Amino acid sequence: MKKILLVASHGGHLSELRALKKAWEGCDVRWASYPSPNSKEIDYSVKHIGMNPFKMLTSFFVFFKIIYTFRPDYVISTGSEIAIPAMFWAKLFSSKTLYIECSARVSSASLAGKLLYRWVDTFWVQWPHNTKSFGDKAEYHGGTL
Amino acid sequence: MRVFITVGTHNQGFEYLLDKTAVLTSRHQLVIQSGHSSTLVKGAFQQQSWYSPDEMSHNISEADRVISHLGCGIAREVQVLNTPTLFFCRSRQRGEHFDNHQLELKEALTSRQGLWFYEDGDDIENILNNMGSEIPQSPTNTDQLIKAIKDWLTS
Repeated sequence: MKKILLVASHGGHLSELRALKKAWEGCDVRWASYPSPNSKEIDYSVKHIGMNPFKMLTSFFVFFKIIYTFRPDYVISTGSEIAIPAMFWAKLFSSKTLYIECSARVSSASLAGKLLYRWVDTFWVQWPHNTKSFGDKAEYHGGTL
Repeated sequence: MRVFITVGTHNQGFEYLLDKTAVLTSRHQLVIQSGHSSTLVKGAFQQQSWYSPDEMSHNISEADRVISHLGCGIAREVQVLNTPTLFFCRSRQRGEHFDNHQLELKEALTSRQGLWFYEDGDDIENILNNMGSEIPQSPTNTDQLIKAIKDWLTS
C-alpha cells in the first residue's frame, strides 16, 4: 500500500487538501498540520512556524522525525511554510514530492512556492496563467476553486 | 435573515470586517467566527473565536447569507454548499495580511454567480437585500485535479 504524507498549514491550505481526499483513497495516509479547531484529525501536530526563523529551524527537527519514522513514498502539500521542512527531508529520504500552489495565488507566487519550486519533483498551480509566476516546470491540472 | 460571518484562521485580526458588519445586529441574526480579531460584536446571536469544520459547514448551510474574508477554503465551501456570500478582502495596508493576494482572488472569482465583493463605502444592508436568488455553484475543476493526483501517484 502506498504511504502518503499530506502536509498543509491550518485554514484554507488544509481545506484544499481535504477537498482532494478522493485522490488517495485506499492509501496509507498521514496528515501533518498546525494545531487548530479545524485540524483535529491530523496525525502529526506541528507547532506554528509563521515567519519565525527559530520556529522554522525547530520544525526541521520535527519533520526529520516524522519522515524518518513514517517513511512516506509520496509527500503532497498545498502550502504554506510548513511544507518547507517537510519537502526538504522528503527529497533526502527519496519520497516523491508534489507541491500544489494554493488556489488563493492567482497571479503571484507564495514565498513557500518560490522556495520549493526547484526543490520538489512536481510543481502545480491552480490557475492556468499562474504558471508564468514560476517557470516551465509549473503545470496546471485543475484546482479546488 | 440569518447571517454567518467568518474571518478565518489567519493569525492577524480582521476588525475592519467585524466593524462594518456590526450594523446588521439590529435586523439580522448574526453568528460570528472572529478568529484572532479582538472585536466583540454586541447583539450578535452567537460569537466564537473558532468552529470545527463540521460546525463551519453547519453554519454555512443554515445561513441565508455568509459574510467572509476571501480565503480559499471558505470560498470553496460556500460554493459547494450553495450559500450566497459577500466577501471582504484582507488588506496589507490595514495590517490584516502580509500581502494583498486576496485581491487577486477577487479578480478571479468576480464573475461567479452568487459571490459578491465589498468595496469601501458600500451599504452592506443594501447588498444583502440585493443578493437575491443567485446561488453559488460548486467548483468544476476539482475532479480534474483529483484525477491528476491519482495519475501522479501511479506514474
